[in-house]
Amino acid sequence: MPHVLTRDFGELAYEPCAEWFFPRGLPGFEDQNRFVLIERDGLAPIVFLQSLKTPALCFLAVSVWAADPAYQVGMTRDDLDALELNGQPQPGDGALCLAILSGSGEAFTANLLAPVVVNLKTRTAVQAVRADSIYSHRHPLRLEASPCS
Amino acid sequence: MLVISRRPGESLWIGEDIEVELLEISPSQVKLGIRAPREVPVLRGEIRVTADQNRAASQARLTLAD
Repeated sequence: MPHVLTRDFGELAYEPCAEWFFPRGLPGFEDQNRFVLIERDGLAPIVFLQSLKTPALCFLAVSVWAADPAYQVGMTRDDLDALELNGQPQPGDGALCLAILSGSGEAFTANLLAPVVVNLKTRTAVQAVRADSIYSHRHPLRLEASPCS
Repeated sequence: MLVISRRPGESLWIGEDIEVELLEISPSQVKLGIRAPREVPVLRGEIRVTADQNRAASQARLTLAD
């Protein structure tokens, strides 16, 4: 199994299917194309998007539906094409939609304006910035059970 | 904020080498054409917001219980 040096957990082995390719990087991090999804026992629903290129770069994220159970994905035509998706992702189909978290401790916000969407079949990902203004880039996160100490 | 009214086909200039032309108006959208030097980044507002938010998010950490 390949290994990745992580920001928060030292060196970890990971399943190759957890590695995602961002052809355009992420806004602000255009040169970061490869990330590994890391899930840790007891920390769900929070997951980690660890850069393969830069060990110090790691994002916290949750499923958009953990942040807002009624969330409606609204990807642009360009982003849908980039992931070869035929329609907007729904919970439980072949795409994963993650909202990147900001903040710390118990006051996280989730970026619902620009979810990271991954086609799990091709493991290609984009940060799909919405063209509408329905959702906030700083949506207060309220999780059922706090994973924090 | 400077506010300027324009009709389709009219344009305005920002500095010496950036031209913004109003191309088309529909009920919910306007189409703008931008002529600017290659090195001038032109970003949709929400992408700029996301870039800033991503930079802040890269500092977020979970307080882990050991």
